[in-house]
Amino acid sequence: MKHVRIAVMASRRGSNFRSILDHIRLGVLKGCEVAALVTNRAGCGAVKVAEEHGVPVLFRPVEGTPLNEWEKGLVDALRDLGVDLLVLAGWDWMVGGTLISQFRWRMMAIHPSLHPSFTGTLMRAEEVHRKVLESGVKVTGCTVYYVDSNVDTGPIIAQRAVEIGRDIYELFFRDPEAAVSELGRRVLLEEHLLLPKAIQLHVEGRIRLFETEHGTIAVPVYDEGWEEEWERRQSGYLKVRGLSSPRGVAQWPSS
Amino acid sequence: MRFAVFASGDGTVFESIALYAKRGVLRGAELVLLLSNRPSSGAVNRARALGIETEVVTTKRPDGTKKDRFEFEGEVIEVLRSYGVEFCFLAGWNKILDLVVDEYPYRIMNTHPSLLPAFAGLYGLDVHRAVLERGCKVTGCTIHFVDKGVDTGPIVLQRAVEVSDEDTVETLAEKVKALERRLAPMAIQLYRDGRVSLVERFGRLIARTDLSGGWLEEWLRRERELLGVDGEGT
Repeated sequence: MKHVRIAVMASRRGSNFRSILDHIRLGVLKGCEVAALVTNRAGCGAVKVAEEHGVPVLFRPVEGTPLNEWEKGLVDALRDLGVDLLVLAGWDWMVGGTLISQFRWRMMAIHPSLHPSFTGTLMRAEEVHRKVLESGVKVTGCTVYYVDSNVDTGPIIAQRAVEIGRDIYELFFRDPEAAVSELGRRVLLEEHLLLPKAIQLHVEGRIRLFETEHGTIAVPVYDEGWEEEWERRQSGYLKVRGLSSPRGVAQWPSS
Repeated sequence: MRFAVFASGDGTVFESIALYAKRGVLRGAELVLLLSNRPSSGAVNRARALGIETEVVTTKRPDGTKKDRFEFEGEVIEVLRSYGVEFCFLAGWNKILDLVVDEYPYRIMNTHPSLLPAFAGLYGLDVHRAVLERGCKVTGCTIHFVDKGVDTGPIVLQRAVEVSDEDTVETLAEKVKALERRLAPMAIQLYRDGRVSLVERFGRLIARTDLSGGWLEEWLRRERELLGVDGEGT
């Protein structure tokens, strides 16, 4: 079967991008390959990750070009590369109608909150986590969704919850910025596990889309044993990263 | 501490709180009253069967006209005073409280069957319907202090549960209820033990909930030994 060709769009550190590459390299994420990194920031971490892994970089600054024109150019370049799936992982610029219509249900993004909570246009991860802590919630998480507009409203593919324990709030009361970055670190670890899973579901054609009067819903169809098999493969990634096996949904309070 | 539970619906969360109190999992907190606005609700029937004092305050007068807020809430406050209530827990209560909140500032908690701030302002099965219509893969429940807004008060506890592709409104409601039945008594015990405090940051009150120092382990031990509830699952 032909590999699904992915282009990752990233403007920042590129840690989710690195996680995707690691999942492919370790044989966790199958049936796909990364054809290119699209970035609008020349010196960002994602570019370094691409260079380390020999992934072609499409450097396309966005400032000064009308969004529509910029997107038309990008769509042409992606077509030349045979890209089937766009993955937004820390992309810090608007997404417009051209890209959305050309990559309808073939463009996913990751957001560091549990949709529909704490969504909004172009919020940086730090801003999301700051709002989360200021609101005093005890559970947050991350969401992978299909991009269908310029706000975070698209059909949800996968979500993972992260508990915000007392330790984070004690830190927040003393040093809010340190707490924001610590929470960001914990959510990011879950993002690194969730995004490759969502990509795998897409690559295998397991995501059914349903139209309802309230909009489109994405429902991944898991066969018996699929998730166990995925977790078994992903434990290889966790081992390489030196992580213990975290459970996404904390079912019961810990201190 | 003398406390009351308010319930308008089926009363399963109320019944769980009553059971935790009866078996001595919940300690130093006495459930003195079930208050309902619906005389024939499941909650009222359960309270009577359990032998718990029950009061019904309806929003209508005997002649069928609607009571105004002062009249309705005035009666509620009177009932609470007559039972010497110090703390209230709303377990499926469907009336907005205003004067009662003034009377019991940050001494009322509510359980809401979603992960607030998502799906605030909805009640009962409507919450789960909205969760499924949005296509959420994770939901949960929230225990929070009641303030003057709707589902806006400081959050005391939250727990998540996964939504599966086979869930319906009913199965999701049952999953979340199972969480609420354990979290509600826990929140009451935390409050009773002085482990919930309020801290103001950036113009908002944040509930600081402290389960540390062996508190949680002791609570889970009592749940396990006195109720046979598994410490991890739901």
